[in-house]
Amino acid sequence: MRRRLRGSRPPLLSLGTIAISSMALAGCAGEPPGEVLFSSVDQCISAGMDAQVCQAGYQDAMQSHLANAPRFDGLAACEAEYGAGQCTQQPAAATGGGGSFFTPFLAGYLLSSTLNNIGDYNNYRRTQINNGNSYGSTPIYRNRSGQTLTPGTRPGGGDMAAPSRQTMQPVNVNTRTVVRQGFGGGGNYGFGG
Amino acid sequence: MKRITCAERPDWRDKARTVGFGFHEMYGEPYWLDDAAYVFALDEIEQAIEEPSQELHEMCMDLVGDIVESEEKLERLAVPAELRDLVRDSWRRGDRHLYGRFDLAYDGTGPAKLLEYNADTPTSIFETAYFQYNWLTDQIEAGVLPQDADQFNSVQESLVEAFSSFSQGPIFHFAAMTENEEDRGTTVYLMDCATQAGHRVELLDIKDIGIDALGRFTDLGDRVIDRCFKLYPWEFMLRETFAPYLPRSGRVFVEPAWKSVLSNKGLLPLLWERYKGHPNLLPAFFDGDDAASTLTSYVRKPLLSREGENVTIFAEGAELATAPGHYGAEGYVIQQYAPLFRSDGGFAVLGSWIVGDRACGLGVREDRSRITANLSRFVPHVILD
Repeated sequence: MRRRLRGSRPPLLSLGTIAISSMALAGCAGEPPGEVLFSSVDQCISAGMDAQVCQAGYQDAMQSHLANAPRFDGLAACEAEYGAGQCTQQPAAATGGGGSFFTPFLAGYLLSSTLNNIGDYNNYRRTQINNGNSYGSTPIYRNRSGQTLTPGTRPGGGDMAAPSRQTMQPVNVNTRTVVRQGFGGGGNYGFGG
Repeated sequence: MKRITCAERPDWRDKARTVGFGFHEMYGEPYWLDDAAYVFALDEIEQAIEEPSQELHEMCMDLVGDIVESEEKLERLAVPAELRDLVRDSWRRGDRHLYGRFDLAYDGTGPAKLLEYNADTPTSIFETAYFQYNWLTDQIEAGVLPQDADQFNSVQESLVEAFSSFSQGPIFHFAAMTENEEDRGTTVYLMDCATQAGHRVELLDIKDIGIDALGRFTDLGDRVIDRCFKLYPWEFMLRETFAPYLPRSGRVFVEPAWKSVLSNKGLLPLLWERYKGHPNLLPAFFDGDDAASTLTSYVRKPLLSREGENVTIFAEGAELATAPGHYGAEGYVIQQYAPLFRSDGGFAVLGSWIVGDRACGLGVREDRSRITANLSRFVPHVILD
């Protein structure tokens, strides 16, 4: 019998989940000045933002989403908050232990409209991170009543904190950086294989 | 092996944009070709590409132990003396590696010949693993390709599996030259695979890596970096300001330090010395060795070179093609010239992927020049019999 050399299922990019939520909106009134909500990279680009900024912001929002999305033990609990068909199961391993959990789909992401190019974005991102915000852009969720939420929002008193991680030894311990930029000098000329 | 043209997918640019594949155009030229393909027969893939790639990888792994235990060989590879223990220790400890890409010369006749092993910072993995695969499934669905069309491609599944073998406690940091769109896209794709394997991931620019008072590597949140994928060459890291902190960093970096001896072109003469006459190897020598003068058609490559820089091809003693660049200070190797597959599309080189320790996929790039460089184009492949 003929052997198949490609995978049995099409590969899935978890980054693609943002495409599912086309219901989010742009330019929400309640946001801080300059911050604009985009539902997708395409929508960000068509709003006149720089394509690289749109993509970088999206990627950062997705990383933040993967780390900090609201988590629920059961599908019913998640859907009660975010609506039917608006939640997805995440593998247990993502938390470093414990059972699997459910999170709402990402509805969009929040970016400052003042960022003109990727250099601006990287600087902004660095400042954000130095100020204790882990990511350059903010993931946005939409609950069943249409309200937009960020990971910091706690709607209806529901506990959105991530479950505690059980680890055998301390990892990524907090410290104080004394110097940076000790790598990267050679990258001025390309090296990609 | 042959090259065909076909109808492009009408919406492929939108699809590319949606998944962050902005670099389907680079340097003002198309990089991804949606309306062409390389066609292989199944037994051709299995016998001429997959099995030799698996064997070549095993030969390389066998050779690493010899190289790292030999001061003379490390000297020939220009590994800085003060960092040889770093390379040696990472091998002795069995530090895990993730992936690599063989570049093969193959024109449909005779055995594929190894040109080099990009074992440290290979790119084009997103194009191979994901976008090429979606091209196949879309073209089957559209009726452009038959239902039983196949592809040598289990790269993404293999990446997720390989990432699963790394412990999941610490954050898996990913460092790259983030202002480079291709590098950033490649790295973010790998982050996605790591996420699917259950890791917490975080992207940072290679320049943003810091050092704390104890000499530990840190991220922008002033956290110690416990594990870090880096799309940045070991040969640079070994020579930069933070190099002295590397020996105590243990198994932080992926690819591990021992990969630097495989991505070095000095691997080629060492392979030839040990496996002389192997059908998938080309005669290769260090520049200046007497035996090098026996070759009349040959390629001169710097020990450390990327994207074809400073490579020169000589045919019957005359220069056939040359590429400028910044490399060569550490010395050169001489390798017998092997012609590439040639068509209207140019010269094609086969990228055969090893993920973990398994040969698992193919990506073809073609270039107008015999030296495949950064203006090459990625062309999907398909298996039809």
